[in-house]
Amino acid sequence: MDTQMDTDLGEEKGEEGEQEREIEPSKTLISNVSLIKKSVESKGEPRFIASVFRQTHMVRTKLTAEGICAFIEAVLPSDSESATTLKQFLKAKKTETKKVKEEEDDDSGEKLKSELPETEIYCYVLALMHMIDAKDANAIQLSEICLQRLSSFNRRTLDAFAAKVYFYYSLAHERFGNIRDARQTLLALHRQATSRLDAIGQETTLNLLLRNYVSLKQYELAEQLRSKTVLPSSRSSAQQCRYLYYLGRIRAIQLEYTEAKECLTQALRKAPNNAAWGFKLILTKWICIVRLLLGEIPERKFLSSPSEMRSKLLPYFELTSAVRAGDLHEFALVVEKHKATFEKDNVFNLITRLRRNVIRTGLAKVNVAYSKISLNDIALKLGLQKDVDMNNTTSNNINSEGAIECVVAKAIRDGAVDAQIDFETGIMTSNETKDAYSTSLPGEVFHQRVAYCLDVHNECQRAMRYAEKGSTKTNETKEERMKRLEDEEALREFMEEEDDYF
Amino acid sequence: MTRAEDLASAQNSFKEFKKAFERATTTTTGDENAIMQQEQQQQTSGALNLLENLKVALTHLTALPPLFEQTKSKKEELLLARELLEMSVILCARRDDEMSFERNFAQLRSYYEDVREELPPSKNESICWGLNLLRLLMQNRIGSFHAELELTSSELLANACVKYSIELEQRLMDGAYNKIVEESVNGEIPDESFKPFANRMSKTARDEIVNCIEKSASEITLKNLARLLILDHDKNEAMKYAMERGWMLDDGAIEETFVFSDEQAVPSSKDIPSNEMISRALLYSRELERIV
Repeated sequence: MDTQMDTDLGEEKGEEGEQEREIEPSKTLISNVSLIKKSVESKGEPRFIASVFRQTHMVRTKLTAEGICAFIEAVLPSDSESATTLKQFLKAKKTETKKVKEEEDDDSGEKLKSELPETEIYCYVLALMHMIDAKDANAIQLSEICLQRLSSFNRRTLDAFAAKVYFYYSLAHERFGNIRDARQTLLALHRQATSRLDAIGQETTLNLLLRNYVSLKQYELAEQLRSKTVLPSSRSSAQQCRYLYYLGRIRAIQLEYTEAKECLTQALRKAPNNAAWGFKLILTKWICIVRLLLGEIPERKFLSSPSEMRSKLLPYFELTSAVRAGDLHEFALVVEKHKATFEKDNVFNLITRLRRNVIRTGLAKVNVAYSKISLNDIALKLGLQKDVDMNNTTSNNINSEGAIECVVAKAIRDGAVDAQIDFETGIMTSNETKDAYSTSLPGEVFHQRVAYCLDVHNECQRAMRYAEKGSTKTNETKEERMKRLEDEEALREFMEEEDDYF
Repeated sequence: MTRAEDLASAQNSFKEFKKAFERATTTTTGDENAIMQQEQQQQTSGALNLLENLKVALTHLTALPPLFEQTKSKKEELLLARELLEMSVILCARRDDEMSFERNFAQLRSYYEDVREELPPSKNESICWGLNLLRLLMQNRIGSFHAELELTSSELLANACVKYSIELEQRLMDGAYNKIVEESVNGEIPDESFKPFANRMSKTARDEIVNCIEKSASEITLKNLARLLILDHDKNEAMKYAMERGWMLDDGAIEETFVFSDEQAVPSSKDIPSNEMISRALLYSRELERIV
C-alpha cells in the first residue's frame, strides 16, 4: 500500500503520456541525451533535467530490457565498464537478442556517443527503473554498483540524477530486501548531500530516511532526525509533499492533531491533480482519522467525492458515522469488522484512541436532548454499562458502576458538555444553553477559515516563485551588489518594524 | 585478560548477582512485617552494588552494542547482558527509581530491536516492556507512549503485563479514574514489580478525581467523596484531599458537605478579547494589502 504511493507519485506525469500515445521510446531516450548535454553546458539548468525526467516517465511503461540495452550501446562508449555491467544485468532477465533496434541506431550512433557521467548515470536510472517495474530483485545489486560509481564523481550537474538513484536504491531495498539495510547508506548520503549543498539530494535522502523510519514504525527516531535537520531553502514540490505527509503521520502519533491535520491537508493540496491516486487515498484516510480525533466530523463529500476512492474509503465512512452517532456498540462493531483493513493501513492504534471521542459525542447528544437524566441511564444509552451479551468480547468496556460518574465529570471538566452533576442523587442536569452568537465562538471559526484561505494564497504564491538565482548572477558589478544588499537590508528592517506592531 | 576470561569472570559474578536478585525479589505478599521489609531492602541494595561492578565488567565484552563485534562467544555475551539489564530494569521499578529505570531501559532497548533475530525470546521482555509503557504514562509523556505502542509487537500486546499498561491508558483517556484507584487498592497488578509505579498512578488518578468533582458539581458530601476516591474506610484521608484543595464545609447541612463557590463574574467590557480582535483585524488588512 505504501509502496504504491511512491510509484504513483513518481508517475505524476503519467497521464500526459497517454495522450501522446504514439511516441517511440527509443527516439525519446535519444532526444533526452541531447537535453542532458544542454543541461550540463548550462551548468545544471533545472529546466532541462525536469523535461528529461518528464519525457522518461511518458515512455516508462513502454520500456523493454532490449530497448534500454540498445540505447546503452548507442550512447555509451563501447569500452565503458558501466555499459557492460548494465547489459549483464538487463540480460540476466531476458536472453533474447535485440537485432531490430541495432540497425535503427547505426546511422546516428557515432555522434551520440558521449563521455558525460550524467549520461552514464541516466542509463543506470533507466535500467533501475525498468528492473523495479519488472520486479527483478537484482535491482538491489545494481543500485549498489551505481552508488559506488556515483561516489567517484563530484559534479553538481549530477545531483538531480543522483537523487533519482537514491530513490530507486531505497525502493529496491524496500520491495525486494529489508528496508532497514538501506538506512546506513542513506544516512551517509544525507550527510554528503548536506555538506555539498546539494539541495535535491538533501531533500530526497531526508524523505527516504523518514520513510524508512516511519515504515518500521519508529516514529520517535524519525522525529529526532527531522527536528535536527535543516531543510534547504529551495524545494521541489513533490518532495515537499512527501515531507509533509511523513511529518503529519509523526504528529498524529504524538497526539498533536492540529498540526498533523495542517500537514496532511497541505500535502493533499500539493499532490498532483490527476495522478498519484494511491498517495491521495492514504492521505484521505489519515486526514479522516485525525479530524475525527480532533472532534470534527468530515463531510460526506470528503469521503466519497472522487468516485475512484469511494469503495476503498468505505470502512472509514462507516467509522465516521459510528463516531457521529456516539454509539460505543456500533463503534466497536465497525472496528471489529474492519480490523484487518485498519491494521494494514497502520492506523489501528489511532482508531482505538477514538473511543474517547465516541463517548464525548454521545454524551453531548444526551446533554442536548435531556435537561435532567440519571447517570445510570446515560451509561445505558452510551453502552458504557456492563452488557451481558458481549462482556467478554471486548475488554475495554468500562464495566462497573461508579466509573460513569468519573467519565461524565471529566467530560464536564474538559468542556465537552455543559452540565452539573449531583452526586447525591446521581443525576446530571444540563446548564441552559447559551446563545452561541453572544460568545466569541463565531469569531474564532471565522478567523480559522480566513487564516486557511490566506495560507492557501501565500502557499500558491510561494510555489509560483522562480528558483533563487543567488550567486549565479555573475555579471553583477561590485557597486550593484552593494546597492542590492543595502536595499534588501532596508526592506528587511521595514518588515521587522511592521511586525513589531503585532 | 583475554576475551574468554572476561566473559567467564562476568558470568561468575552474574551468577552471584542473580542469586542476590532472586533473594531481593522473592515476594513477601501480605507480609507487612517491618523486619522482613528491611531485610529485603538490604538485599536490594546488595544486589545493586553487585550490579555496578558487573556493568563495568560488561564494557570489556565487545559483542555488545554499540560495537556489535562478531566474536566467537557473541551469543553468550549478548544473552548475559540482556538478562542483566532486564533484571536491573525490574530492580529499578521495584525501588520506584524512574530515572535509573529510564537509563537502563534505553540500554536494554537495543537488544530488543537491533539483535532481536539473533537471540531467543526472553521471558522478561513483556514485564520490562509493560513497565516502560507504564513509566511513560506516569511521566505523562503520552506522545512517547503512543510511539512506543506502535512498536509493540502483536505477541507482546496479548501479554498481561503490556495489556495492563494499555488498559490503564484507556481508562485515563476515558476518565474512568476510580477504576484505576480500585485496581491499585485491590492489588490487581500483573507483576509485583508494577506496584510502585501503579501506586503513583493511583495517586494521580485521585488528584484527577478531586479536580473533576470541583468542576462538575456544586456540592458533594464527604461520604460520596470518600466513595469516589475509594477511601470508604478512611474518611480522614478523604477529608485531607478536600482540605488540600481548600474546599469549604457547608455549616447549614446535616451531613458534612463541601460547597464550591461558583461566583459568576459580572460581565464587563474587559471580557471582550479586544487585543486579539485588533491584531486579527490588522492581520487581515495587511494580508489583503499584499494581495491587492
